[in-house]
Amino acid sequence: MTESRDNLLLLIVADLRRHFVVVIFAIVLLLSAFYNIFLTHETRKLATEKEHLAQQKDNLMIEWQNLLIEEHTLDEHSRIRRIAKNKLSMAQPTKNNTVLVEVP
Amino acid sequence: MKRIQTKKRKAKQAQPRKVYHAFSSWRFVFVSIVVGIIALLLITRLAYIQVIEPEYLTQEADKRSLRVTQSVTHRGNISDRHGEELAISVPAYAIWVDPKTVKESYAFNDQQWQESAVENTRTGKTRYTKKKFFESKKWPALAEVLDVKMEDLVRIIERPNARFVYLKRQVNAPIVDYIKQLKLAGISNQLESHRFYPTGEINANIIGLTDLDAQGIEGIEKTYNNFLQGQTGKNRVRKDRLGNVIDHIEVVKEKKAAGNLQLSIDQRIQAVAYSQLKRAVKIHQATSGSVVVVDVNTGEIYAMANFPSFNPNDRSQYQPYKLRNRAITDTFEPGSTVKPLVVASALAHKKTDVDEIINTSPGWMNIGGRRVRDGTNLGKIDLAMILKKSSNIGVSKLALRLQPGELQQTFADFGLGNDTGIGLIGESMGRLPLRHRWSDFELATMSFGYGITATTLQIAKAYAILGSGGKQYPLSILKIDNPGEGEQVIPRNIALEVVHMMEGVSEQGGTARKARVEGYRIAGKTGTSRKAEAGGYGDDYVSIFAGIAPATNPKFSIVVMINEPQGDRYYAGDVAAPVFSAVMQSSLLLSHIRPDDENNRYTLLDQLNDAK
Repeated sequence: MTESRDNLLLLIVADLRRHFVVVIFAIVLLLSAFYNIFLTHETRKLATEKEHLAQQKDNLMIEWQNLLIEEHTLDEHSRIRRIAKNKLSMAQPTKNNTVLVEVP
Repeated sequence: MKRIQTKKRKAKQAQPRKVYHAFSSWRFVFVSIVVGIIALLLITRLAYIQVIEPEYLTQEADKRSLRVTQSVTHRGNISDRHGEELAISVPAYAIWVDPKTVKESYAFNDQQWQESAVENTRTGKTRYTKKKFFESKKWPALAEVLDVKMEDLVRIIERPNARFVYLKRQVNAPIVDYIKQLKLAGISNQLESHRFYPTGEINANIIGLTDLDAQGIEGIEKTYNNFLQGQTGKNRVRKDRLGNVIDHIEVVKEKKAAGNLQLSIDQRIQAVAYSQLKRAVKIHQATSGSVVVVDVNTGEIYAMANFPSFNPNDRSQYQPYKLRNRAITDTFEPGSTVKPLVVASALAHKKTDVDEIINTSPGWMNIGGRRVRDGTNLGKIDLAMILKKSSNIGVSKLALRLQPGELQQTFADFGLGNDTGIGLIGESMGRLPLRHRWSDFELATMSFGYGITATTLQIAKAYAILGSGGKQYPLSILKIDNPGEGEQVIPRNIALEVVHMMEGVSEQGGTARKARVEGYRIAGKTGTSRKAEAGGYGDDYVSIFAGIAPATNPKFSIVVMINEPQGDRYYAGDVAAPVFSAVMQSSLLLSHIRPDDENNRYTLLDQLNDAK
């Protein structure tokens, strides 16, 4: 039994050897096809990632804008002036307690 | 192939030595033909799908995977000269309802509910496809979170043919998330933009505001609408089952980034100007007021405040009269504030010289049968004293030496009756009547600011020209990096001479002692003009103070206008001058301008070091 099976295998191998170039081409073709699939998949993954990053950027942008609003509501000049005057009892320096520094 | 192999194997088992003996040619041919036919069929089908009619399947695939995504561009920000944002756009959502979809899944009365019954033929049970609208707890929840009355909501949804109705606009993200969780049929949201103004009423008049569709409708928002707007981009993309973008196909609409606008406004000065103006208007129970701060060397506007104003973040306050940018829209007779211009005109046309003494006795004079008077008899005074005491007779005498055309030309050179170059919508040019025949009396009244009108901004520009040594720069609300060379409209020495003369106004005996700024020399002029009304001049006044500082090397020209101050103190020296003083002091200190008052020396750092 083993003998006959070996024979078939040998036959097939012999056949393959006879068409060695075709077999190589077939393998190359297959590899190329799989590589194509792989690359497409990678590309799609990158596209998805790019989209996610863009979305993330938009979200950060929105957050930044909201933080800007918060910042500027808090650092509004007249508000600071009011707090400085009323809460912290600060005052605009007069000429007597001012030293003039000349910047060349 | 497998079958053939197994057959071969069987044959081999039977007769191991003669491998090919059992080879049956008809079987081989039959199998070959069958396999061949199947292969041919497959190839034909493949060719049909791929080559002859590929559109159908491509289309079906595209239907399931191709999507158009939006890349939203928000309106650009507006910031002041130091980059402080004055107007910011953040995303918001509009909640809308499709009443038809709601009606398809909710019953509003018992009858509709009964009609929606569907009998299951197999089990014989009846099922109702519609839910009862009024028994659902979700709809009242929606009404509550959107702050809409339940009756209104029902009325909107029961509209017969509507397919799109806004329930509420400018809703923020947390509320939208809540509504999404309610999962109500027919309720959707749509991304839009919300404009926020952190500085509120301080800048409301100049910046203006946008409508709900993010279109500027007033002020800078309208003037520079196209620049600020940008364009939302659209991309065609392929998405997978999970909604991830896997391929970019094409750009349907190019995304254009919105422009950010940087104004010449200095928010710190603007805030001081607004609060001082507001205080003065309230104290004097005036109807309105404006303050303008202009950089004399570039024409940039550092501050432009008006009262009354409104909070642009709260649309319920929206009233047209509060919206107006009075500094550029409202004109008034500038009164005595034009006197320095008359003096400059007389000097430029060589009708007087700086040392001339003019006799204003006895404090009144008749011109063409009508009388011009001063408050008191000032006697023989020089030009500086005319400005210091604001003598009507003094400037009338100077004006009468000039041809009417000459005086008018000087006024026009100073920008009266012309636009200031600021380029904002709604700007008024004032009135500078151009005609050839003038009576002497008309010429005299024009010399102290009657018969012509101007805006606060125009007067600020006229004073800026004096301050810059006779050079005129077009005014700008946008920050300028390179102002270029101004146009010389008045000889430099004359402009400087007039500025020097105006210094007397805030000195002992001048009309506006309250305009003084500690540490600096200021040059200015008061103006208190009666308001013209139908049939003559009434009892209401306009108080104006226009001034320049530091007098030795001018930086700012500031004009304060307070309209219709009530009570006994309506003179500009009492009403407008204190506002000028406070605003000018803040402007100079914040801009680090060197104090120039020699009588009022500051301690220098070197002196401190020497003392140690």
